[in-house]
Amino acid sequence: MPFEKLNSKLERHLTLLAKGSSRKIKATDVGKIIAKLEKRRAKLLDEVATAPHKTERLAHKIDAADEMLGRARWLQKQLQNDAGSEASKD
Amino acid sequence: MKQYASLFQLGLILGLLLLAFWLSSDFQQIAAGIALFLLGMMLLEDGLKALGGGLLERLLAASTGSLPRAMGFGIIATSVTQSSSLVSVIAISFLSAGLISLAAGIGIIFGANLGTTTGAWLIAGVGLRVDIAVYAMPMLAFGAVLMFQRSAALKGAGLALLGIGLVFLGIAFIKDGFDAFSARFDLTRLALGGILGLVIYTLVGAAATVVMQSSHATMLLVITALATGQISYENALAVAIGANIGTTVTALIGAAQANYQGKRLALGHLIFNSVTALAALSLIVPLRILVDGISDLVGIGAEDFALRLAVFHTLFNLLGIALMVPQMPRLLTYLERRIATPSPSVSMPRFINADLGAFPVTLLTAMKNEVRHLARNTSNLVAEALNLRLEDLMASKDLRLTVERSRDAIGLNVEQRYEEKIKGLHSAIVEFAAQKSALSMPRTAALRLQELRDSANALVRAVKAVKHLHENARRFTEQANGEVSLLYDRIRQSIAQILVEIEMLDQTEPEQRSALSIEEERRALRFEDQKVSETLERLLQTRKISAANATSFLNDARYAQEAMTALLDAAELLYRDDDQTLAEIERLLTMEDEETDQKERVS
Repeated sequence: MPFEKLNSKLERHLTLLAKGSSRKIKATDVGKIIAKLEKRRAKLLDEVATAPHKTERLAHKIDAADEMLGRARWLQKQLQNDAGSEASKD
Repeated sequence: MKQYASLFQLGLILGLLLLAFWLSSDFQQIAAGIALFLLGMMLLEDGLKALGGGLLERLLAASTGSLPRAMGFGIIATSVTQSSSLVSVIAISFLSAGLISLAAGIGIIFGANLGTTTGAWLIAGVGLRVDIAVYAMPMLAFGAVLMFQRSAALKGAGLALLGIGLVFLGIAFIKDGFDAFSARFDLTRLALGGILGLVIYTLVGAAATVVMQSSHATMLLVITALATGQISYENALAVAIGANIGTTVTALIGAAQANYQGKRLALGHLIFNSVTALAALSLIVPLRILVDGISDLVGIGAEDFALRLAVFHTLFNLLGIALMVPQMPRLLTYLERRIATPSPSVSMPRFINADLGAFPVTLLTAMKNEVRHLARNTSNLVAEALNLRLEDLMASKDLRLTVERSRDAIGLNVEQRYEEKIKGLHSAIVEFAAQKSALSMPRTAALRLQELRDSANALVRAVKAVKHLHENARRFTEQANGEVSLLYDRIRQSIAQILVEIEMLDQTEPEQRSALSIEEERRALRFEDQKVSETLERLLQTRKISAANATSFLNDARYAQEAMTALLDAAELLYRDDDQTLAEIERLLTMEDEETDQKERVS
């Protein structure tokens, strides 16, 4: 399974949520984080153009930003699926 | 001496109570009524705090943009909670955390003074007309059941119901007590007319409020006494004015331990209430005529002195606001001049203080600002320990060049700087977090408090790691020493890069910032570490560096790695989103060490 650790963290969060001791997270909230990460990634790409001496370092940073974006999109999709299955139960 | 004075005061009050109980059994009922009323008010306050779940704080944060809005908040919040002390405490807490301005704080106090007059209306209009003890009984029963529930909201509702029930019961006790008392005694024989009566009964009202620590209780007593004919209308008006003065004494006592902002607010409160009281006393005759005119207009009976007193109470507080609002700029200037802002200290806590109370919003804001303060001190120390200056790094267009050129000795005594600017501040943060974590607060707020404490701990770890590195970094960078100096420059560059990135993160608008970007720095750091290891290997193979120097460097590189990891850990925790929901998402998305290791193995 992709993002196995993230998945178990999400399950733990949902357990806490059921007990009323955590905040409900919506897919739209994750969308806000994704927007920030995308903006940040765009900034890194701009920096590659203006600071060629840092290209290698920036490539690693962009790699990390991509991975973070992948995790965020996966989380958003899980929350959308959960919301969809809850709505169909109703 | 202070201790003996308070013991003497307590003894005097208890003695007077015993004497009064001995003289009249009806007085026991009145005193028990006051006790129930005060207990009820305390429970109501606690219940509303729990029931609101921070609602009052959120409303306050959103409604203090202008003086009318701040006053509006003070009026509404005090009318709903019937507790000006709760509203004042929240105002002091927000002011201390820097979340509202002094002008907004004063506006809230003005509004709370007006809002508190609704209490007189409730007592005179409802409390004395209806047999409220009948309503008290079910409230007490339902409240007791609810207060033992696990849910915070139900518990809060139970406490609030119990509080209202006790307040109602207290009013009924006082009413019955005065009815019985009136059959045997006639206190109106003690009535005093003219200016002497005005002064003496104003002092009586102030003293009663100081003793009971509640202007509501004084108003309840005087309205009930007035309704049962135990006090003259003229003297009751003076008692109401005195109650306003008495409230400020309570606030002043509370402000004795407060920080400069709390002291300013308490002084502003004292000035406002004193001006209001003086104006009311000097204009008592026209005010009384105006009260009669308004009462006749709205249909309050000529003999209904209890309601007329409520009209007077509201009217003279309105007069105070009308007099003081135009003087607001002068009042603010005076307060800021009279109680000067202490000069900021880099080694002492600037944001966390005793006035923050138990409100998660203010506690977390102050804690975050204090950890940022510690982070700034840490960044300066770390930079200087490596013969660098943070301001030069921030201004640099090419960090590599700036680091290579920074070879002049800064002469920092790391141990001394740690003692002066890190240790005390860190201890204060840890102590504050320990004290506040004992409070009951939502899980997310408690978790945030813990994260901020952990961030401070990580900063100290960074300083300690740099302490080990300092001596060699200084030795090999003050004088060019071939390849070894170049290797140390690489370490200095890596740390400088992280200091700059953290500083830039701090300067980014919170809405644009994401603590998740720290992961990028971790990735870049691992890449640089790998490159340095490769270089070292090559230098050893080509014998361009001695084994002794290589060993020293390896040890120092490990300390540098510890320092950089600790700095990134601290930043990741410190710059979590202020929105608790987004912060929760960031916690989920943050990569665990084992995930990173797994990824590295795969790549």
